[in-house]
Amino acid sequence: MLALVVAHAAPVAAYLTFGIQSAGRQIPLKWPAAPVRYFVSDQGAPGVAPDAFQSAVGRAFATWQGVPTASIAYQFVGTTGALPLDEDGQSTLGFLARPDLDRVLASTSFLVDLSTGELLESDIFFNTAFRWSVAAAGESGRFDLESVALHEIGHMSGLGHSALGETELLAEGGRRVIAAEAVMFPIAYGPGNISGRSLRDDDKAGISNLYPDGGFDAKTGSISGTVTRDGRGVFGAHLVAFDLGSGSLVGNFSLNDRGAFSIAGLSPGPHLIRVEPLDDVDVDSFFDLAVNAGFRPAFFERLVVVPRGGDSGPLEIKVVPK
Amino acid sequence: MRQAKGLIVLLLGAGLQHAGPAMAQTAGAPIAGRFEIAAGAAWTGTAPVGARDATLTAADGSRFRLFSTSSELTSAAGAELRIGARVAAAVDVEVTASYSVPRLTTRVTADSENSAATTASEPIGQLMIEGAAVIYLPRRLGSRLVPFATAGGGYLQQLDERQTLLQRGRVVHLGGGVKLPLMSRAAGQRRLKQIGVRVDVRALVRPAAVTLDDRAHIAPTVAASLYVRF
Repeated sequence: MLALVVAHAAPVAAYLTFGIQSAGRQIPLKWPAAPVRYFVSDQGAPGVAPDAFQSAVGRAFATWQGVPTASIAYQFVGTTGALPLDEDGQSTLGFLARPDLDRVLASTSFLVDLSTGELLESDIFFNTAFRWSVAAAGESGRFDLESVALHEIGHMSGLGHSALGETELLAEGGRRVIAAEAVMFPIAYGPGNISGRSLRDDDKAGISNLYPDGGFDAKTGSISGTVTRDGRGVFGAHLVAFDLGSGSLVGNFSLNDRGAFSIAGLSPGPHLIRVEPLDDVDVDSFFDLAVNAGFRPAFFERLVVVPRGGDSGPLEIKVVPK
Repeated sequence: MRQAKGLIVLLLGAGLQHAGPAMAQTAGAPIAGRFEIAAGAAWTGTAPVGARDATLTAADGSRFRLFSTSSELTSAAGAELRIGARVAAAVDVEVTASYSVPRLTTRVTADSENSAATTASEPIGQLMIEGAAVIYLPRRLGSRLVPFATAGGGYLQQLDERQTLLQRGRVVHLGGGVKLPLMSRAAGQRRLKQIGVRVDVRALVRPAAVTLDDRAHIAPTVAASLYVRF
């Protein structure tokens, strides 16, 4: 059974990846084999010629492929007259005019085998309702296509959103990014900004967790446990593991009613854990279900030493109501 | 002030009372015997091991601080065992193994969402195996205290309660101290040459490789041990 799904599905443990329910269990969505073959639309957009578009998305693919601890790889097949979102068995990246989606820069869709979770096709469209740039240094007033492509290719590879960022509400609606530490943060930097061209530790942990390679599982470890409030599990709490030695930040969420969480891909060594409600972004960018955001941000009272190739053992992080 | 001086004199006097009859030292050596074994206690003071901010990349490319941390290893007492051997008239070499359980403590401040300042910690089992040279100084302090300087280095391993490795690497130390012989035998009379008390004061340097902020940090250490020389 196949299904075309857009943007997000149910998350599965270990990292916020896309997943589906099959036979009563969660299955992560992922490509069954590498390289992932993709086509690029032969249609450009104002300010972006087709060959410049192809080069920009090619750089973004290369950035993900360059993560040494992940096995994911991509292959450019050629240009196509097909449009993104066509259910045609080929993964296509291109522009679409979607003025109705006035807050969506780009979006990723999937064709999925619902029995196995295997990705069969994934398309990415970039919304021509916005002005785009492929200039090396960015262009004022235009969104950086390579940065947005990097984010969408993360989705195409099976990654969900990260909440490692801070935003503020805008008077005209929507949110503005103050700072972020993950390409997979759901809100892009503003026009002219090219900070989103580099993967962060959180992104690398996510892609490596999904497609481990280069001794990733043996070289890294994980922290797992539950988040509880008044003895009950907290669903949707955002947890961040801070590596005291390197400054690396890797996040995840409590993903069920028991408040269970797992943060994988961590460097061995001491980590500080911060837990906060998911109240800085639109929740539906992460979950289809309502989350429990009625608690205060807090730090776990213990430092957790992450073992190489193992798990910290179950921790219970207790939070208090706001 | 007078009372303090009196106390020092009294303590030295007690040491002399416990000492055996006057001994002949090995020719040219400031202290009797060729080999030494010792056991005692050591106290290491609180020392910083690093401070680091958790930061995000701001829209203008600068760093946005999520929160700040500063970490330290708290003071802790532990046990130490030592074996040594004289290699020159006034020089010993020795190997010391020590174990203590300080707490790795991290204070968190300046949270961007105004979480209260807090402290997280974890007990850490710390094993050190060090080699050192001990150089006896030519002049005694008073009639019996034998002063020495020491320098050495070795290996440090820190494990948490679940025996998960926290740090592993080299350490170095510089210091000095005194030995107070309590009982000695004349050379050639008995196998056991001397029993005494040794007090060390050391500066323990944890190089960047075994700290959390890639900077060396120094911790003071005071140790006292009972030694036996053969």
